[in-house]
Amino acid sequence: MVGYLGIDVGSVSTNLVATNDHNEIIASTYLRTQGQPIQALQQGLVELQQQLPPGFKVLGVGTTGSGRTLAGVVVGADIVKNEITAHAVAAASLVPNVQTVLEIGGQDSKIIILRDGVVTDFGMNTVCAAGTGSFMDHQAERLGIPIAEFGNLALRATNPVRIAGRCTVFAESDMVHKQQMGHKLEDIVAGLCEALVRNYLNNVGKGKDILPPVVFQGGVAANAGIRTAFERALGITVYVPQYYGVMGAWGAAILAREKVRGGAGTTKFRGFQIARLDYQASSFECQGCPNQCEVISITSEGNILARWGDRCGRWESML
Amino acid sequence: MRIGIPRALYFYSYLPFWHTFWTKLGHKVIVSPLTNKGILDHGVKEASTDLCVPVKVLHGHIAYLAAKDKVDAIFLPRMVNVGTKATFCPKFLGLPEMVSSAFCQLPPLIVPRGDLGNPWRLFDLCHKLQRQWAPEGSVWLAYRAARSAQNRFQREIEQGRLPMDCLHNYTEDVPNHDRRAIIPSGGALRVAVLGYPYAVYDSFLNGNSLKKLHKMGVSVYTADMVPLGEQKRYRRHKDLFWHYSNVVLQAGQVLLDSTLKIDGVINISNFACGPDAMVGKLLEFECKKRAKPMITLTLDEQTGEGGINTRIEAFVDMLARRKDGAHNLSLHGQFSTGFQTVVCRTRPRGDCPTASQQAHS
Repeated sequence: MVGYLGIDVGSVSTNLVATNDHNEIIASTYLRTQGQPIQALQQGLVELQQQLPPGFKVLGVGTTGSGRTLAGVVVGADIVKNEITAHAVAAASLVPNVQTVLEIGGQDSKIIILRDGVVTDFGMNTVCAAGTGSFMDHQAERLGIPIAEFGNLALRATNPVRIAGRCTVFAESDMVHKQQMGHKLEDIVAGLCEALVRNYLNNVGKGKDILPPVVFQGGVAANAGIRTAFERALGITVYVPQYYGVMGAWGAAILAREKVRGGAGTTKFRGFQIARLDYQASSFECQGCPNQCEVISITSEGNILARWGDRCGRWESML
Repeated sequence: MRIGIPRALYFYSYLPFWHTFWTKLGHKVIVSPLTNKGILDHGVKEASTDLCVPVKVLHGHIAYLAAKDKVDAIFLPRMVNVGTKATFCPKFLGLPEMVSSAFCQLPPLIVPRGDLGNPWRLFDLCHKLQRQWAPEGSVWLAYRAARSAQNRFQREIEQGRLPMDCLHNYTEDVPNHDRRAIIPSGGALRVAVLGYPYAVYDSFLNGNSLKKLHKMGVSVYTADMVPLGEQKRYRRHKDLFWHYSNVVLQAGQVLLDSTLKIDGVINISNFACGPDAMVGKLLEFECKKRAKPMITLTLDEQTGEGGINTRIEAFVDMLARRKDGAHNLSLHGQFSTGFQTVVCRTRPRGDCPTASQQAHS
């Protein structure tokens, strides 16, 4: 059996998918990055391989997510692509006439507007990570609710309370206040979901034409409370794909297939055994000029695979 | 005398004038180096907290000049206006006070008031400066040389060179790689990068955005490349209050409507910039009117370039796909046949079994 790998190394989760030669997902993993992208990636590869039939031949690999460059070097990627493009490709492959993609991940949230299958506009959250997965995670932990139950709890609310969603800090103090006032937990949780959606639509989604069909993906799409809040705010049905959590990785796999078929020929994939190799990431401050760039180098078994982080390209080009 | 000029804020626009002026009067001009991490860190430390990052960077450049007896005076005019009713941003108006209160030890500041309604005002200003700081020199010669240096600079930019490539005539320590001119022609895509000069041309601050665009084969056009006369065609019935904001807005429209066929607009904005709240929105309206995509990059003290890279890359990808119209990538979804599309509706209430299973497994 032959197929392609797509890898999405995000700030919170690291997702891998394997597709067959027709872009259908045949295996996927979803792991927490926990600040160690290389280890998460290796663990993911091991788990993915266990799901795959023996003798599965990888024809191409694509990486995406904020750790895409790192992942690309570690696995030997054929294509390294940003998240917007990867998510758009995946959503459009699943729902060919999709016009809006809502994506909320660990630290990023984005909206992608497509018309006739082409991305015509997109927005991403600015420097602030308020209203993303990390925030939900943190609040769930603070309330002692497993994140997986957060959404279902919200659905049980009868009277969602209003929570300030503009800023995480204000939202949290607002929530504490509402708790102390004696509001029910599910109402507070539902209020939080609504606040997050309001914040998203007023920031990332500001001025964008949100037309159906709307696809909602990214890790936060698991949260039924958020999905419901989106439908209520937009007044249209919001679709959540089966593989909502790995759409970026899937998009990367689709792009890898195109790249390899479109002329790249053979893959640069270094093989599944890289999960057992020792990879070291180290960084140092270059003293060449006052910029003092933090240069990162990735080494494996004594060989330097890549270096980056230098503004002038001095270290990057030394390889 | 050694006169220090910080490479920040309005000096991205007027350095050739003032550099030539002081040099012709017989002084040695010392320009602070390109913004680097040390300068930024210093600026953040010295400046008060609620400032935008370019003003913090100015503090860093002042700190550089003030340290180790490098200069005898620092030239920091209070720029009020240049030729129109619009003034510079309020923070520019208060710069001298802001700077002198932030540092306890500074060389003397040369702080003339730059209220330059017409060329004679500029000459008057120069005259005053000459009488005070170079009584032996000839103001007329210095003024004329400065004017022609500034005009030359302006012409070079209007021909499509970027200021940082022209300014190295006036600075000493520009590293080699920044001397390479980014000539904005021949790229497959044309992008207008709109923002204030001190954000667009400070490559440290904006994460080297222009160079990155160049590497992706994008031709870059900036507001300063539009001659002033053309900008004025786009004056609104009521101008904004701020000089640089008007430039960005008017020049932006010239570029959008020009025969260049701009593919998209990157708006570089500074976190905590008051005027930008207006400019960004108005620019968005103008882009929407012409169906041109626009993205805003907000700069702050972050030195991690990941966020900026992703946005620029995705934006350029999008422009390329739009331009291709029909493209060879799979956005039309031709691969979705045979794929079992499992979508779950969230209403009526209830979780999607496959979805939740996936998340928790």
